[in-house]
Amino acid sequence: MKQKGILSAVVLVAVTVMFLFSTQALAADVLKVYTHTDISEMEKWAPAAEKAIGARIEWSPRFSSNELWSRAEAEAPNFQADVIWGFMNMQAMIGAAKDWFIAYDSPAWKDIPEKFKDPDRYWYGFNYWFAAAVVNTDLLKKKNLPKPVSWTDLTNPAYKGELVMPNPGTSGTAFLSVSAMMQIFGEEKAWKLLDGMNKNAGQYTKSGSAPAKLVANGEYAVGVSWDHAIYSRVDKGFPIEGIIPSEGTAYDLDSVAILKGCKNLKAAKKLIDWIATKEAMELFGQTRSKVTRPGVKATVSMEPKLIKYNAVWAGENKNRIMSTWKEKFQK
Amino acid sequence: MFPNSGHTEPKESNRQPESCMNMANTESYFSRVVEDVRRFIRNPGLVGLTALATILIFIFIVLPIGFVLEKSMTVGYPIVTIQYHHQFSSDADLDRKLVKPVMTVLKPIPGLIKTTVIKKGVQDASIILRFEKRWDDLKGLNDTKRAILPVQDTIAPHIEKVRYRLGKERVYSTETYRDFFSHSRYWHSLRNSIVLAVVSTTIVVLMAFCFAYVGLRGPHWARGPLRVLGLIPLVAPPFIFSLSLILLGGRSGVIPKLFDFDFNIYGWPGVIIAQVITFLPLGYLMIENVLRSLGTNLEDAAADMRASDYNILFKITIPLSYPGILKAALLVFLMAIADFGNPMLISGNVHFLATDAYLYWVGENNLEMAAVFCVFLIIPSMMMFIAHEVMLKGRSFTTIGGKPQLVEERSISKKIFYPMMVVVGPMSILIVACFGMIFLGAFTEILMINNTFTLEHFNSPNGIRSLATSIKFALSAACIAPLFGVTLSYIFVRKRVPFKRALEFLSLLGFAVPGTVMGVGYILAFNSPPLKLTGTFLIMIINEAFRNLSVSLEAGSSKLHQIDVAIEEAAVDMGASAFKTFTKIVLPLISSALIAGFIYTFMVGMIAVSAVIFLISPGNNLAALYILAVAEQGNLGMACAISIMLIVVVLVCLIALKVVGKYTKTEVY
Repeated sequence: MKQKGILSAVVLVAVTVMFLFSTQALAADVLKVYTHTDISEMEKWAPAAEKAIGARIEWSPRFSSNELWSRAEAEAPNFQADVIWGFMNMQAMIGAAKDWFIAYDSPAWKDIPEKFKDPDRYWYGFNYWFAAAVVNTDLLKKKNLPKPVSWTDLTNPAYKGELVMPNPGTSGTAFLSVSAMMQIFGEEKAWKLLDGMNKNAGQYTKSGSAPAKLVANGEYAVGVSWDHAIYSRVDKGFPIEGIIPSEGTAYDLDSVAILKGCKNLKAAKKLIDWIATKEAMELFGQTRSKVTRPGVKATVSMEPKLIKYNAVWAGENKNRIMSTWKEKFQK
Repeated sequence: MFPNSGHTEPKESNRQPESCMNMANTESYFSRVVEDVRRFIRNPGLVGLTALATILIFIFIVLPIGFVLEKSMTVGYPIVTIQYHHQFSSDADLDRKLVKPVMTVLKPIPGLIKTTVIKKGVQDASIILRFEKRWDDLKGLNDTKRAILPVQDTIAPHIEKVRYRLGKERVYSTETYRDFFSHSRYWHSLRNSIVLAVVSTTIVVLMAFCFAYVGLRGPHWARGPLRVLGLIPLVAPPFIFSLSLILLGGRSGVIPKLFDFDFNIYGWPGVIIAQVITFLPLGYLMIENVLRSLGTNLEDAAADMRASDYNILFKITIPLSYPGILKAALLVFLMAIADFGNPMLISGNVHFLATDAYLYWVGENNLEMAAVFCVFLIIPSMMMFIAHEVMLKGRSFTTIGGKPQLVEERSISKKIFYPMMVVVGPMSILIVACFGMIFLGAFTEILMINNTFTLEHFNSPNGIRSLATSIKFALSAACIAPLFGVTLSYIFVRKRVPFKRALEFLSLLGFAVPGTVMGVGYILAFNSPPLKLTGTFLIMIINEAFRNLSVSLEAGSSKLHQIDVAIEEAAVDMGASAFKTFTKIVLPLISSALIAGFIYTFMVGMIAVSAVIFLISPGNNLAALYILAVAEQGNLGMACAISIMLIVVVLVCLIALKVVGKYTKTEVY
């Protein structure tokens, strides 16, 4: 019957095309990467890395820091990815303690200071970023609000409904700022401040970059985000200003590590080697405030008042702080 | 001359009158089952096929749900294990010089619940420390190491090797359920989800009825446009309307900016409106279907007897449409409670079950609590499903006698038309506005702030890659589901298979259960050998195919019921084997069911979110999820752009299918 013939032909073609596609994917040299890096940055970093290591990089669709981590924890020890390229230092330390990584002593990293590398070479830190506040100067003027200069200022009732912050449950930025406040003010005072900020909060976003975008768009007057998200938009001409709280803020070392069970160890090692190179570091420097290779310029030249952040303490108290935060602020 | 066909089933299965069942008591029920089984076993082909189907259904539908249930009843404790490879000669020595001192320093560690000592062989001893449920495991580990320090020197000379390991111990307990009910932030999600589903369902059914009624009976100028409007939300990813509502009414949206007043669409208003628009087409399809097949003779008779328009509407039309209305209500309820994308984008600080299940997994790695949420997602869905089966089985609603009726078309009464238009009109404007927003958002830099025209949002190589993956994914699932579903429907309708009802119920389970549950279930079930499928493309396809099995099954069933079994019997009499009958006679006759299943699975696959969000892996990114991720980062322009590309792809495929259908003269849709 003609119509059955045509139908089955169409189906056959479709199935064949499908298989062609999938086998093509299997044939190529592939490195699977988990990352919490912004999509806009990965779209530049991945192609550059691909050229250097000679393999195709398939990267996860920009999980926020905690999403990435929960996925890894659920999968351990049968990880779906080969490398985590871009996750928080606190997580790197936890992962090393849980025996999730493959150690690799990369010769390319010998010029980079020891403090940015794991002593057992399970992870490497390639740039660091810090949490900061952001304001929309137009909105501030329109609503006649003062410009905040400190964490404490964010509790000013004048900002009620005008503050947008990331949710520490999913965002690494949020957890960084919360734990930084704990280390600056001590836990008790920090919780009081967070309570004040919660009264002003209009919304909690899932990702740490979203507040910068929302403030830039004029949906909120004040937000808490991280340096790149803020300064990249200042450069684009949005009416916003980045504020580094006067009491200080914390920085996190963005890290990279090879996961156990990595299916393409050669490419993974090449990736780590490439990250340490001057070219790669300069690429990261285009969007990140500070890179770890000495002598490479990055976006932020001034030295913000960065506290000596204790990542180990943060890693040891993550669950406790987040549960308490949820108890208090998530109804 | 007389072919040896052991096939007596086709003759008898359809002739068995239902009234026989009414007379059954336990004895004859058992004897019937035994008879079924005996006859069943005599047909090896059928046995093989059914066995295969059962195994597949079991693995890919029942097993994941089972895992979810099991997970909801476990609790995980962080464990620190210290493994010693020592050189003590005697047990007594070991106890005195290693175990006792170490245990003494370990006792005061905060969060520690229990310590166990395990001795293996002559030279290995382990000390296992169990910490409180959600204790930070890194803290446990570091505290342990710090605690050992004072005695380090005394034990070091006897220790050859020491190793610290972090792990998890799983214990069965209903603690997670207790936690669920004791903290309001957990069970509020349950309450909110049910309220949302009920509200959305009610509004959708109301709207859909008005749309369908005016679309079928209203003035001719209104019919075409209303049909399009009622169905067009189907082509878009389900959460696209949240996006447009944000663009319209978000804090810097069109409405607040143009009319200069503070308006917050986030929260209940946003989610409800978004869901109503998203699920309107479903309700419309069901209700229009039933209204269309309603003969107007009863209504005409009532009019002749001088019943008022309202009386006719409420006492005849609506009651006769119950099957369609109930089906619509069931479907929309299931979808509303399982909805992931809309709450994710626009719920603000209000919490719902499906999104919270994901966030609890992701936010605090609490898969146990996520599993509990899943259980609470299953229960209302199951209840609605069973209620639907109970309510609709065995009641007759037909008015068509099979003969066409020549009836003078009655124009819709003004008393009904105007109130309905009050409902339909604003809704239509809203739907058009939403699509308009997507276009505007895609082509302007930042809507309402920087309205310059730009094509930059379309420049997303990863977005395009994800579209290609989505097409591959949807096509694959769409090739599997209809074939499997239709084959199953044939087995269920034509063949006598023991425990048929149970099997049928299980296969429909994949659809009734919200996507989140299947997502979590698949992670739990398939993340370790022997069936380590997570991270593959295959698992996503299997998940999608089995979730949408039921549509093809239902389509096949209803079509099969319309076909007289005499045709198949004729084939058998002429010597055709069961297989040949199926492939050469049955399949072509129900090809429209196959195609309907294909189209549905394809369209749903293109916009899938709630299950696959648990299963995506690097390189297997789906367009709908990419749009969600981009939208969450605040990049609404790019989200709109990729959405438009997605809509275009779906439309192209639909048109292609229609063309193919016309060419092969198969009735597609």
